Amino acid sequence: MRLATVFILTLLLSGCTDDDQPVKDPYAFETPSNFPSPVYTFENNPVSKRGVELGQMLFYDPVLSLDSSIACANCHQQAVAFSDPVHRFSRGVDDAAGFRNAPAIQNMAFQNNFFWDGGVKHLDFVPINAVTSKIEMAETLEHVVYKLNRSSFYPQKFKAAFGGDEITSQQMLYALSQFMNLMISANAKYDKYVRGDEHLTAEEAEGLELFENKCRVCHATDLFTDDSFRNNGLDASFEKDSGRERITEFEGDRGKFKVPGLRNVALTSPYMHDGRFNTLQQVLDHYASNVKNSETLDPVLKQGESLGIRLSEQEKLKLIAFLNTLSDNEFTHDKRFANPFVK
Amino acid sequence: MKVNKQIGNFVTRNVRVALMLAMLFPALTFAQNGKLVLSFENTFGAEPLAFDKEYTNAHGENLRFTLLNYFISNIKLTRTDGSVYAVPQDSCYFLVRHSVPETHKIELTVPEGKYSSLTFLIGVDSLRSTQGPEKRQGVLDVGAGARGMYWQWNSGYIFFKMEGKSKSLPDSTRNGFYYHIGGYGGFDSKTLNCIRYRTLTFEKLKVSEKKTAQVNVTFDASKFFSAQTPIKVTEKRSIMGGPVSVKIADNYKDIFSLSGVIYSRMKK
Repeated sequence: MRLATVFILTLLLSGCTDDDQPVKDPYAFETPSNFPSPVYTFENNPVSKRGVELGQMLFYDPVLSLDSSIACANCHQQAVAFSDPVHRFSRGVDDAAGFRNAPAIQNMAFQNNFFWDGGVKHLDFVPINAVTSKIEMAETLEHVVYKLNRSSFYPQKFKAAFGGDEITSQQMLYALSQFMNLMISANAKYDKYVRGDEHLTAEEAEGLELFENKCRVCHATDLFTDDSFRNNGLDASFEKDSGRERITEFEGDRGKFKVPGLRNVALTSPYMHDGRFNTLQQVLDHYASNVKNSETLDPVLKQGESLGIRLSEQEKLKLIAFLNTLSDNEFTHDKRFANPFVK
Repeated sequence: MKVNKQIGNFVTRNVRVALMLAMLFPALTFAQNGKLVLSFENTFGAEPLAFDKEYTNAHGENLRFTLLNYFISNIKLTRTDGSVYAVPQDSCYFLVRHSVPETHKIELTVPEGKYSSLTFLIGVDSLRSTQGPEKRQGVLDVGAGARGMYWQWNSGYIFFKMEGKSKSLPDSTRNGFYYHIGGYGGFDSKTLNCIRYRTLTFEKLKVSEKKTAQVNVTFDASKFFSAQTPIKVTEKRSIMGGPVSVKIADNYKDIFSLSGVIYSRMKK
């Protein structure tokens, strides 16, 4: 009798989805069709609903900072693709000023290098920078784990997600990675155009063509970065910030910074590692007429008669129109990435 | 009764299989393990290093140490016949903290035999330095065991860390000196490489099941300042990266020296 019931129930349940599209699990990691393969080590830390939700809580919880004043989300706001819209240099505990602009957080599973200088190679270790930096959250990983273990709700959530009786730093880093891995922006107008679901205006299409010819060398693939480090001619000397050289201690890397992905670029002002430009127009003006020479200036900016990229005012406008098609409204409004403490 | 007989048969059969295997692979089945202890003794000259004591280095500078930590990993033992035993990768990472005496002794389980040399890395290898948290347990746990021995912004372990005070330094510096050495050489692009292996050879080291062998390794901190690249605290009181750190790694590598091998009987 019981068996029969189970059998009938199974039939009924499977019947529900038979005619429809299979239901997509919103917490499954899926590589967008126009993206390269991810590089994250999912075999060690697969994405799960519980893990992602835990990461989401940690991301919005100021418990990660020394005096519970600052959460990751302070400087990485969803409305602007998890970048900092207010500060050229983000502010940490005690209003300490950083020295670089907070980058957007998106499509992390596909990146090999993190931070403007590539100081971290593995996503799991990215949050440690912010947590322990004196000019950011000024905490220690140990103490955050201690606080989480004493909390009234985290222990049971961690146990449900990872098992074990005590929260470890590994679990905390895994939860944040799961959350960040799911943060994929791939539903901008551009993506829909690439997949044949939407059209571009004539101006946007011309902008895309210009982009392919003049920008793709560095902003490659549909992640819009080749994940390399380049000197894009912002300065002639680099006493203030030597960029990649800080990490490699190799002179040839002086003044080089990571090529940022351009997804949601219209939202992520201010621009460049030090946030010196407020508008895309200023960025393009730089490439067109203000590139400064130095030993390590990228060769692609030295090809013409003059330094930089030849761009007319009209071309700049078209490029900006195209760059606006990279804004992903679904990503910036996705409930899975929103503040879970605000109901 | 019948059940007992079955068990009997099962045992006999397996003993027979075991004997056959033993004849086929004598080395595998009869290899026994013994205990080997690597004991790291930090000294200043001939004296054991003490944090509350003041010393004078070869340049006549006053010194008092407040911290001395170093990673020891990738331990390999070469047998007298030239074959090598490597401590399994996942259990080959140790952190000697001078302030924690229990960390000075590294206990290993090693196949019985005669060994002629010991090799270890002062620091953490590049592969492990780029792996995920699942491979960073124990002393490699950046949220626990590796406390103070990890750079987050230029992600990697600090291999060797020595800090102290010197009255030879002006008060404006709070008299502090700091030597933090690390850098695993980079993953896919070249970065600073302070990975240094040290090999110590002995006439004979015998590891057996019956006795515990202990290899005493001395680190004479006085030599740190007067090695190949002399370090004066008054000239360089802070080294945390930079090309000079590679020279410091060369300096300290050679300071690890063998002071003897002792044996003690296993307690029953």
